[in-house]
Amino acid sequence: MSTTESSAAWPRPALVSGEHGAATLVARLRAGEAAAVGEAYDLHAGAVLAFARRLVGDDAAAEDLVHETFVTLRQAVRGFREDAALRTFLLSIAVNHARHHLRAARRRREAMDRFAQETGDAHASSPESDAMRVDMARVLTLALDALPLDQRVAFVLSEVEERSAKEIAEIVGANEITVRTRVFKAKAKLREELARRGVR
Amino acid sequence: MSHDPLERAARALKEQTETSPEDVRRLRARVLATVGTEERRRSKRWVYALPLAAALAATTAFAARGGGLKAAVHAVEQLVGIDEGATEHAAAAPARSVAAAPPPPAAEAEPAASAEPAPSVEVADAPPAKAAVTEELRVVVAPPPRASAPVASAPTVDPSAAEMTAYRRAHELHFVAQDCARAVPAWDAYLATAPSGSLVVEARYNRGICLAKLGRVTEARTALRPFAEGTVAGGYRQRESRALLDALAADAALE
Repeated sequence: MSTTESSAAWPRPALVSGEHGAATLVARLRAGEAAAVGEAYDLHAGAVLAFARRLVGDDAAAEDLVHETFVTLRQAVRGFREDAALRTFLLSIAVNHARHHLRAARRRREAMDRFAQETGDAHASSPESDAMRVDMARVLTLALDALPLDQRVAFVLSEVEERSAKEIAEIVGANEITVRTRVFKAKAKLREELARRGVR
Repeated sequence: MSHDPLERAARALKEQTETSPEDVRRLRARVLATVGTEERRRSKRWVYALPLAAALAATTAFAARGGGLKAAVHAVEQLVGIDEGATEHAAAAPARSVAAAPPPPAAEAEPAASAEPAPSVEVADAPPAKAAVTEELRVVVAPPPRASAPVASAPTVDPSAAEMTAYRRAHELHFVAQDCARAVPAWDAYLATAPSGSLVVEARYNRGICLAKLGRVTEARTALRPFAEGTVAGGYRQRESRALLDALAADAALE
């Protein structure tokens, strides 16, 4: 996975900035305008792609998930509530489509993990610090595979993306207490998983 | 630095997964190509929907005037299992009534686009197979079918070292060296090494893509047809394969 600039640094095009612009964009999406999907993509794809990568732990599966999210946006936007942010709504679409992509990514990860264990050359060419980070991320992704989807989503949004419980609740359509409980349970399981995999 | 391994791991995952403008730009082409394809499909759908609607209206009017409408409705109810007096009606309804049952609505004649797996796009790393390749082929063809493309129900045999070595070699020739002429035999070698391996579905699909890029159209059609028909791994890459085969057919028609 690439490591460059943060998705938070993406400029917002003036065309659709502000509440009025966002409302106009949603109206155009509802009308089925293809160009509006492009504009929504330009505004939010960075954040959605970063989230998808964190959630599924696999670049290709993440891209497939983002693809599906934006391709289905015009249809899904009929259920968009005006008081929510479009980005939050896009993340919720991604969560709804994640299961299938996650299953594929997990299966591949298991195969590749076995491959790496057998050949022992997974990160031979990385500099040491990068290799450590890559390894930590990889181990966490493998540990995340042990969680149910709802806990996985809650953990990624809360601990990796550092979103508030309120925002997560909006994305996943649950209340804040449920979200906190999911995060709590996820963290407990992940600590066990990390310890089992020798991360201390 | 935090001493909590979970916090460190979460930070590592965050840093490791941040996106670059290049990642987003690359994926944009794929998303918009699909949206554009759906637009075309949507407008095409009317071409089929309007005559179907006209036929439905005419048939219904005919059936109503001739008293066959009720029988037609019963026949449909029987078919879907909601008719309480099915046996009686079945005896009473003449065969003509079944024939007069309305044709499926347009949505059935052509499934809704959103219900299908999303098609994709091959972007920068896909040189055109030949000069005559159509624009549609370049736009609608599937993405570099990476090892991690979604599979619904592929076999789950433990990969042996030989299998993975063969897969990696073919993958590198295809996606890193972008040398399809050498990748095709390498995919063949993988498939010979692991005929029931865990990555067979991807290997078969990738081989088909390579054949298309090389302009070996007949072989590409043979390789991709099962995918297009949805008979491989629960519809793996079905829509992309269909789109590619359509594009190959259109390309052949231009020649």
